[in-house]
Amino acid sequence: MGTKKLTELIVDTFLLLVGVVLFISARGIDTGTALGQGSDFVPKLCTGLWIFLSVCLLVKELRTPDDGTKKLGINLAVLILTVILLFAYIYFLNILGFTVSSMLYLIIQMLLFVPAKLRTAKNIIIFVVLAIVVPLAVNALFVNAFSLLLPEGVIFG
Amino acid sequence: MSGAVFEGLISVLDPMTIFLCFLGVVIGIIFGSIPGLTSTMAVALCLPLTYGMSPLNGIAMLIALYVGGTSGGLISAILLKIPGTPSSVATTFDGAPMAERGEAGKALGIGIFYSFLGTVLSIFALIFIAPQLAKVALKFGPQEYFAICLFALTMIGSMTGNNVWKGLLAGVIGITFSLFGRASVGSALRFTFGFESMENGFSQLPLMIGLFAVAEVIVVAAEGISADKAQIKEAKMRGFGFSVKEFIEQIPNFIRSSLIGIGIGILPGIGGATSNIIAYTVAQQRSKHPEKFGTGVIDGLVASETSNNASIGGALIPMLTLGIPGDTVTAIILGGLTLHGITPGPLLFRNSGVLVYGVFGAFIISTILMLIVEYGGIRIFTKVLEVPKYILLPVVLVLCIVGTYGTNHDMFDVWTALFFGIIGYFMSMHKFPKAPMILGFVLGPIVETNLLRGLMYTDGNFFEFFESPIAAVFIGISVIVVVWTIIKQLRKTAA
Repeated sequence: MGTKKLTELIVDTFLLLVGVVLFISARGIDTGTALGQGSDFVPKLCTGLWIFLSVCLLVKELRTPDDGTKKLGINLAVLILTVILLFAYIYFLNILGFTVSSMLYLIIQMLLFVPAKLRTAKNIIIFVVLAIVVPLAVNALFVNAFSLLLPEGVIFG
Repeated sequence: MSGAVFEGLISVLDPMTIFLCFLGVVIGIIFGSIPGLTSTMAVALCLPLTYGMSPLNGIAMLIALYVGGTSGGLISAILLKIPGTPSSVATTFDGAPMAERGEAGKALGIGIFYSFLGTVLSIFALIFIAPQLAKVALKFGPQEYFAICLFALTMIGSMTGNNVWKGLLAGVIGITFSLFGRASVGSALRFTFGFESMENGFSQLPLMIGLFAVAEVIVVAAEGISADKAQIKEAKMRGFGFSVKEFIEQIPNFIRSSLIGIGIGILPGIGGATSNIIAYTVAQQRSKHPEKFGTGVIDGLVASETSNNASIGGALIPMLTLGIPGDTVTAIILGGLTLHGITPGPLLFRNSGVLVYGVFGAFIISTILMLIVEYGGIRIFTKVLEVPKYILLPVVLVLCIVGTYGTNHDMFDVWTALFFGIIGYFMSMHKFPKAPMILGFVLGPIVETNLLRGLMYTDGNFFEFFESPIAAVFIGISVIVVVWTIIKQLRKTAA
């Protein structure tokens, strides 16, 4: 089986499983303090529809001819590293604060994204400067000028 | 009465008032164009600044923020494929493809001009027929709201693209996600899985930031950035970017989208976030070349930007005439009016006629200033495209974090954005359309609340909904649209 069809089937099956889990959860919802139909009506209806549509989608995908391509077509390493980086960035927002976390995020993300051909010393210096200046500028504008609250962090706050 | 009109409109021609309108428009555009920051936030943050101002100056500035904020969303929608505000989601569908083929200036010019025209038409509605329109809005009870939103939900059927199951499933997933948290009717906890932070459910803004901004970062990580194509080459632009012929062709689309925007804006609780998607979908259905929508046709851009700005005037109608805010921004403006000792409602025109017409004047001036500022800034905006994606996207993401956290100061919203970013990535890679999911998420709670309220009114008898002519018409049209979509799909499968 080609990778495209396989990934589609995995995604469609996953959606069906999520629908089933949510439907089971919906059956445990209280009617609540309503007169007549309550809080459980629409969730049961929607999750039921979710399961029905997932099954239709899965059947359609099973009937779709396989194109046989074996290539994944994506840069898996950068993808996984980016997702981990995003998790880490958000996790450290409350620990290191917005400014420091954003500096670290920017420099690492830019280095992950830049094509190998353009990973020159000049560009890296630009990344470092931007990684320092942008969070400081954003902090100055939104926290000091607009009085918006941003995570201060436990260490530096 | 005409004395109050003249006096009110003239009162706005004060240098200080004009300056405050200019400032409001500029700040509004900045907030609107940065994904995650919205006109609601801009108005909320600037409200304290208006305490020391005269009532007219204070309200003028808030309205200018509203106009700038709603319109500013088109800038990032076109240049970054990330809607600046929920009102510009549909602008990404055709505006972004135009930018990708070097027509960013044209897309911006069209978006700005039709934002201006949409606002102007809604100003006319506000000035001339506000009280009559407000009386119609008063006739809308739960049954009518349910029917209208159900009809809007059936639009999902037309957004399904090539795979109807994916489109419908995306819509149902959107509605289901909107149900998470504490129910509005019955107050039961739903799908919280024991997490306290889930009790308020997911918010609209983090969902949108996740589906568009975070997802875009993850997609780019997966697909990589080519060294040669890191920047887009921009074509030269003349005038507003469109010809007289194109303008004439778009007149029916413009008028229809404005009416959709005004109509949806008038109904409290539904605003620009819904009207832009509905107007886009209707434009696609009525077009002679619906298959071209999504590839970069100006029709889609015109529909989206006209309707979302027309909703501004629409939302001001119930606020001024009935004291009922049309959306979150008008709710804050209502607070601003109350602070200055003005009570919106049926007697407002009689008791504070000069101020009301002054507010209309400020609205007109803000709209003109919005056109001048945005059009003058097109060359600067398109410079954004010269920034390589490997720099631009991470910076945009950091700004999105500001907006996502800044609304509720809750880290749960930021995690929500990441969660929907991962969902958005899989949706992009597996061709699940995002518009149905957003529409389902926005309209789901309104449909549910009004269905259950309506059933309580009618003692559980759904057929009594049809006793309301408005509800009967819209439910009937919804059924016809659903049946027609199914027939079309069966014909397509058979062929």
